[in-house]
Amino acid sequence: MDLIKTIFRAILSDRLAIFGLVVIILFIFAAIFAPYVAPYEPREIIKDTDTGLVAKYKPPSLKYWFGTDNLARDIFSQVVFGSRIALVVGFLSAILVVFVGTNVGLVAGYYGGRTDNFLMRIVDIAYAIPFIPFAVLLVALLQPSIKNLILVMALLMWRAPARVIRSQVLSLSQRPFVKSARVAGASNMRIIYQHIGPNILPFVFLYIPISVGWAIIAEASVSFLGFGDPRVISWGGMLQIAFASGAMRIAWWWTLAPGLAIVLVVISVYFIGRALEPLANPQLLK
Amino acid sequence: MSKPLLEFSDVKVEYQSASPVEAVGGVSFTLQLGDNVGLVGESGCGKTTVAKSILGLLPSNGNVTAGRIIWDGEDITGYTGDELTDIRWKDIAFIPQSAMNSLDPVYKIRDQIVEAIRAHEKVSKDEARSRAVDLCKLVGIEPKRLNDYPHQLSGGMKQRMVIAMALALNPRLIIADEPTTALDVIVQDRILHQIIELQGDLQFAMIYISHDIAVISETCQLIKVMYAGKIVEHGNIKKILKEPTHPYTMGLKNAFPDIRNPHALISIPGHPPNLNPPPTGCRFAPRCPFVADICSKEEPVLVEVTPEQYAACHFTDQAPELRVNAAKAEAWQKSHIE
Amino acid sequence: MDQNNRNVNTTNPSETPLLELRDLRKWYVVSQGYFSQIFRTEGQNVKAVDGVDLHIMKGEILGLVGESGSGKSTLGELVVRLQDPTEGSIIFEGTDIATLKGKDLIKFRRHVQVIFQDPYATLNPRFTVYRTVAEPLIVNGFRDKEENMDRVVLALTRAGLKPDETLLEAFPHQISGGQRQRVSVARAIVLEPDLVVADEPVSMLDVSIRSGILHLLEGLRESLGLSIIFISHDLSTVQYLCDRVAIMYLGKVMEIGPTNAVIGHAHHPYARALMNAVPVIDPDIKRDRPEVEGEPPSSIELPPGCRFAPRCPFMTEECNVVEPGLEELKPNHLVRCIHPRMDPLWTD
Repeated sequence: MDLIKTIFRAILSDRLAIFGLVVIILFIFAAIFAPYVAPYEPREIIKDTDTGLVAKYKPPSLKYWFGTDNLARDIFSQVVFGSRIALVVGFLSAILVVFVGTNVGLVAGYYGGRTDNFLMRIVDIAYAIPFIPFAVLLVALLQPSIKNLILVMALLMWRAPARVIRSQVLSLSQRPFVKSARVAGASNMRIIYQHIGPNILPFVFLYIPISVGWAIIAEASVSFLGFGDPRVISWGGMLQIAFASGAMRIAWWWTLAPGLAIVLVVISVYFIGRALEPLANPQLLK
Repeated sequence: MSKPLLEFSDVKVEYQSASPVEAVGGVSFTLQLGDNVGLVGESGCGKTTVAKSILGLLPSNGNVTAGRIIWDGEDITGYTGDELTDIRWKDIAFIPQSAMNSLDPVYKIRDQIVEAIRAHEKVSKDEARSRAVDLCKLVGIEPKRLNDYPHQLSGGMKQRMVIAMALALNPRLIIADEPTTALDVIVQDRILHQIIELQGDLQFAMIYISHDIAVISETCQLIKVMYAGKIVEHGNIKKILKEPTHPYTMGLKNAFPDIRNPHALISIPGHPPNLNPPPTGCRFAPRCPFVADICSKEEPVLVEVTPEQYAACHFTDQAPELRVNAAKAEAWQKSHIE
Repeated sequence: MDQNNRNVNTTNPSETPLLELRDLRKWYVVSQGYFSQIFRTEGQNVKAVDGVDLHIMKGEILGLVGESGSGKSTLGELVVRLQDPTEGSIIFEGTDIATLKGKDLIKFRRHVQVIFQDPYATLNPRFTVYRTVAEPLIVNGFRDKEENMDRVVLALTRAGLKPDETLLEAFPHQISGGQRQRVSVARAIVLEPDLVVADEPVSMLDVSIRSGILHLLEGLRESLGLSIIFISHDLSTVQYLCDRVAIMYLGKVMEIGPTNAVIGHAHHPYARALMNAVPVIDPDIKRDRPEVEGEPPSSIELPPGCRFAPRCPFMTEECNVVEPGLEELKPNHLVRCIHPRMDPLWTD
């Protein structure tokens, strides 16, 4: 479809976006092939073959690229395996958030009136709820798990795409091509999804990378606060353990590695999103 | 003949895009104080570009690539906003299309006029305010309306306010770009009448841009017909409208309905040429009913047809016969299918 | 087509109109402040269409003229049921369609289609030309691809376009304004409707290509027996194309009659003002300027009596008492005025 072509052209014309794309691809590669990319098992307690001692708190070296932590586990391997959670949470949440947000925006913007009022009041409520406290609360009530974290994202973060898409749909609904479709006899569903829908796709594609960024930071924050899923390795979880062990000031490499990973992924996704922004400008869609 | 107020000398303007578009392809004319010129043409002919190039209002991808624009002896070609501050509004005022939409909705009208005046002249607020009152009266609006916000005024009143603002600093030239297109016909009548009166009293020069030759016929004494970036005919409006020389002007006349003299409407088949790059030879040739071999090879230049009438066509001497044929629908029928 | 070929309508009582509007109204409620909601004072209404009686015969082109605020576009939307009337009837081929819903409404839609003003906004930027024209067919249950292609090709040809593959696969931004408007016409006629409402179809086109579309519409009336309601603010275009003209002001019809009778011999002071306001190309003619004062009032606070009275130079006390009805001054020529002007409009 030529929207896909336009998207790729937009990304490839922006150097930062190319950088972002490359980084994301590298991380995806690392996530998929983690067992082959990581030199050690992430939870493996490493015995240093030279000294015969457990390799605790080793700074970065050729043997341990990002050093080791308090339990002699290789940090680089943890980062590699952690990318799985980051990407899964990131993309799954993004898809849910964008799906819910787009549909709410479409329905509210097209029908207007009471439907719009009702849905927008729900958006207002969603905006009023602060994310981290709500996430913590929900996770405390249910159990800390990746599933629940994705649930929290989906419950709240759809609010932003909903508003933006609604305002686009509001103006599109007034255009003669929509009126013509109604006069031809098209049903409301058909108009929303087949006539208006394709015209707001650029916004949808814009919110996907943005939501991925949000989700990754959300997961990291919640895990750092200690409410993450203890069964998985996540970058936020790594930061939490580093903090809890009191070693943050000594083992600087322990926080640097996952922190850097988070920053890299989020920035890359942001660069891609930035390159896609012009797509939302109808004049540039030509 | 006194020194011209404005001189356009073989000006070319290009818009940069994937491939450059030559929106204005060599336009020359002079303007004296008191001249009232109608610039007529359809979309894409370059008339708005000409206006914007005078005032440095071209968009970032537009450039004057050749020729000179000389205002009152000063070469202002390619001047940027800063360099034009002394001239803009004080000497040359611009009324853009739908000018009523350029009023700031959150400020009262009086404040906007006062700000405009004080931005260009060192006068006190009180002086500026009393000038605003005078201007209001000049355009036939009760001064108490100065207290209103733009949304409280009707479309016609807003447009008159904008005209008042344009006159605020007694400019010597006013460029109006389709000032009445967005207005209802009765309001348009009032605005046109106002403009004619003001021009008669204040004697400023005016370039009136429009696609509506009836409006231009009532408001201006001189006419310039533009097509695909060039002036194809210009001169005394009465002579040209009664006896056009250029086939495009003849085609335009055919296409305009006249409510008092209904006639068969004939459209000009086809559409204006691509200007990136512009075609060789006469730009109207592909659509002209009288096209000959020479037309696509050699570009015609403006020649004097009668005193006060100039046209750019290889067959100006045959104009009387061409006029007869141009009035017939068959002459323009290339194909009914686009 | 010149004046002599006018399809002048004669009141033939045995012929039923294709469409008849009876006392049609569309009032919009202006939001009430809290106090008036509490105390239940009557909300204010914008009376966009305020009691319109109109009819159109089969194969007739009716012009609907008015300035902004006259209600002409709203009336057009009511006829195609893009909006629901507040009161009144819309009788199409004997059935009142004003309150139709659901399946009945969809069945009705096949008979009445619409053409809009802006060629750049009237086509879905993401649909190819084929999809745009085929959509009414798909929506109305025609699923056979080959048949649809035939119908689309026919519609495009009738609209004066060459339906080759390039055009069928083209997107709106790849074709010119005039072509887009023709595609819009093709879309309107693909279901072979009885009536098309055209709302300012040529106002945004270059003058040199307007007559192409006007001739197209006229041709469709000839070949398909199409009736057209032609909404416009431009009297000269209306004069060129329409058989009868209705002049609207503030939601009501002020004068209606055969085109040549109304234009050039209008009786209603407002209609005459409109005609006098049109600029003249001929530099030798000096037109009489319209004699109208002030600005139109808002459609919320209409004056008592004749709604044009406050601006009318011929107003008398009587005018402010009761709103006049549409009286038949001459055969098929109705005027809503108690002091209709009888002298010809243009003496030259």
